[in-house]
Amino acid sequence: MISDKVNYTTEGTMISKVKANLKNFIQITEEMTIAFYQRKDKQGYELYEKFLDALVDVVDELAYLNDNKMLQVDVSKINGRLAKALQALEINDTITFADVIQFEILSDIKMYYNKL
Amino acid sequence: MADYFDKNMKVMGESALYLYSNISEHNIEENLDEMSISSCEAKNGELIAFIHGNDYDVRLNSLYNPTNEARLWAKQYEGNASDYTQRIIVCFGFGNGYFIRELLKVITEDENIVVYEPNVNMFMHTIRNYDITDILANKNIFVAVEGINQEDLEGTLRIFGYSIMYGQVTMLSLPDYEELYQEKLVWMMGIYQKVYLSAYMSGNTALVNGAKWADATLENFTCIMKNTFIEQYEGILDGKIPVIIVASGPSLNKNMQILKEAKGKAFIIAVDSAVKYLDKAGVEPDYIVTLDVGKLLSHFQNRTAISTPMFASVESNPLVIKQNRAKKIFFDDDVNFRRWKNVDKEKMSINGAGSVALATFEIAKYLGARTIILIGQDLAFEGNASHAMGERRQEDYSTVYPELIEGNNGQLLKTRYDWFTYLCWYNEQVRAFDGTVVNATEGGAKIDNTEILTLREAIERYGAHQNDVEKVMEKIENITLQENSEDIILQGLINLKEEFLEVSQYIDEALRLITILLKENSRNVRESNMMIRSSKRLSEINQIISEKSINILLERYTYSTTIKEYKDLFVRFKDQQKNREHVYLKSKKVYQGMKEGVETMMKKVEKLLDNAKEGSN
Repeated sequence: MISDKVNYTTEGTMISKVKANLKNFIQITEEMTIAFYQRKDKQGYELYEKFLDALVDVVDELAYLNDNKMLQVDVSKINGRLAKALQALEINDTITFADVIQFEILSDIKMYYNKL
Repeated sequence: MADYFDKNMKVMGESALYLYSNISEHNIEENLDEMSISSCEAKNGELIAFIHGNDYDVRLNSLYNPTNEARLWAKQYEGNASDYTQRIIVCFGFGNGYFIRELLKVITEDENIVVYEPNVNMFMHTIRNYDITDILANKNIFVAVEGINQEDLEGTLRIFGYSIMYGQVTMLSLPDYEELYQEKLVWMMGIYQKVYLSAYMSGNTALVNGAKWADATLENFTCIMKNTFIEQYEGILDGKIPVIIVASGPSLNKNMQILKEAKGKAFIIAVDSAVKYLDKAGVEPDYIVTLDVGKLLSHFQNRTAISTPMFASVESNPLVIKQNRAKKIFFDDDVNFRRWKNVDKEKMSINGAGSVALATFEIAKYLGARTIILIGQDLAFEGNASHAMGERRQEDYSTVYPELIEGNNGQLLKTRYDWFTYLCWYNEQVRAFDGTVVNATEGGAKIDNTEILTLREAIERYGAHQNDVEKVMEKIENITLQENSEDIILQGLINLKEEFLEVSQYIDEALRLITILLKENSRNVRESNMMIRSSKRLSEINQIISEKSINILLERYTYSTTIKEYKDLFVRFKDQQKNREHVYLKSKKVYQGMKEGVETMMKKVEKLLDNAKEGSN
């Protein structure tokens, strides 16, 4: 049916957009964590601003995909780990912040990217 | 936690003996504060270290994965991404080894790391709880630890003096160390600056004097071969009599009369610039030391300078050498002329001495002195005077060192950059000397670990009996001039000429190879087989020339060229083809400089040969 083809095309375009956003998020996040590991905190915080912007879009999109049963995503887990990361940042522990992002959030995001 | 102490110490004993011997001999473990450092497990099972203080607890590593953190941290110092090759990495902090291990992985084979760990508790905790055998076994790393071998740091940095001067150094600090150990960081930076200053001064001296040194060595050849070498006098004093080193600082005035009374109770060696003052005061030293190729003849136009025996560098001013009528004992024989006189001994080391007074200190030690008395060694201004009799020389106020230094009388004194370097040298050498050094300057800068006495007190305490002094002086006199010196001189000059001819041919071949390399490189982005073969042959030629005895003369003659070309030799371009072209062009200039040097020096040798042949006829 034509309407099915239109829906499929719209969904395909949306998935591509989400993938592109995820890829962008992964790149920014990796740059940010490397900056913190290298003790380039000024650069790290500048990338943190971009990280937050990209994160909002990514979490919204993943939540949408989960709600529409297009991908199984544990959004509350992501939110929980993000809270843990931000707690570390609040006490200026940029290394633990980078660790939580790298090992507990980014690894899941990469998994979702590969599944799409 | 596993105990890695024995395993680490075993490797340390094999590969880092400088650390091993200090830890073993000084019972380091007895005085540790074990509560100040602790370790626990990270999420991935590796250990994390904590440093505890009265009001802080600092975690050194990632809670999740210390190796991952260290690897990403070290990435910024990767060799191939750096702007320079052959870097020296100077690192403040050893920590528990993670960062250092990853740093060792990112540097290239021809780079080195010098580490200073300011906390002995940290280091000892690490060798007990962490397996760092891979780090200890690595030949590209040197570790100095506060409380174990911190005094080795300066000597190690001096080895890399020229690299420091050319900007090939990357300075870095382990995370958190700068905040935790600020005082020790200041200390380390002080050492680094001293080394930089010293290397800079040596470089400038070499730039100005290189060709003159080579020329003077050849000009002095005839006199050298008619006299003796210092290697023939090693240990001759046998600790029996003290040596008085007479330098020409402003405080020398105070001691002239007492110095006269000291004659016959000590071996009195005067630096060349002090001689004219001694002559005016009627003081006769036993020997004079001269080494400066640019020393003005006016210092030596007096009876004392003409008639007193000399210790002379082979590179001394030839006019000074010719004017002196007495016995000469030569040092600094890098060309190994002494082999032609069957003096089969290793060359005496002047150990980085940058002035004639420092060289005299080394000579005194080499001769076997166990007590060395310094006079006139101010290393500071006395009022406005820089030298004896109130003279002010080298009126360049920009050479004044910006910080005041401690004097022997507790006051703060002005000094110069070069004197400050000499003072640092003295502090290191006197500490390492296992005899007694008396600073009888009666004023001037405080030299660490010296006994401060007046000259009269020093003579009363350490002066020898006249008989003993006479016996030692007789022993020195009995090592006489060579017989058949004319034949030796002739043969030596013939040998020199043959070596110069041989090296000239190698230089011509090297220049032809470089022309080929430049042409090939312009046509090839990647290194072609012909380029590889030509580069290999060039390396062989470098090696052959470096093994010739005249190589040292060539090096000195071409200092101004090599230092100039060396300055940015190690700059790395992203484009490999450009990199290679850069190196080939620099090599061409150096070889052209060498060719010019060989031609000039060969003419001199031929002239000396003609004179020698005339003399023998």
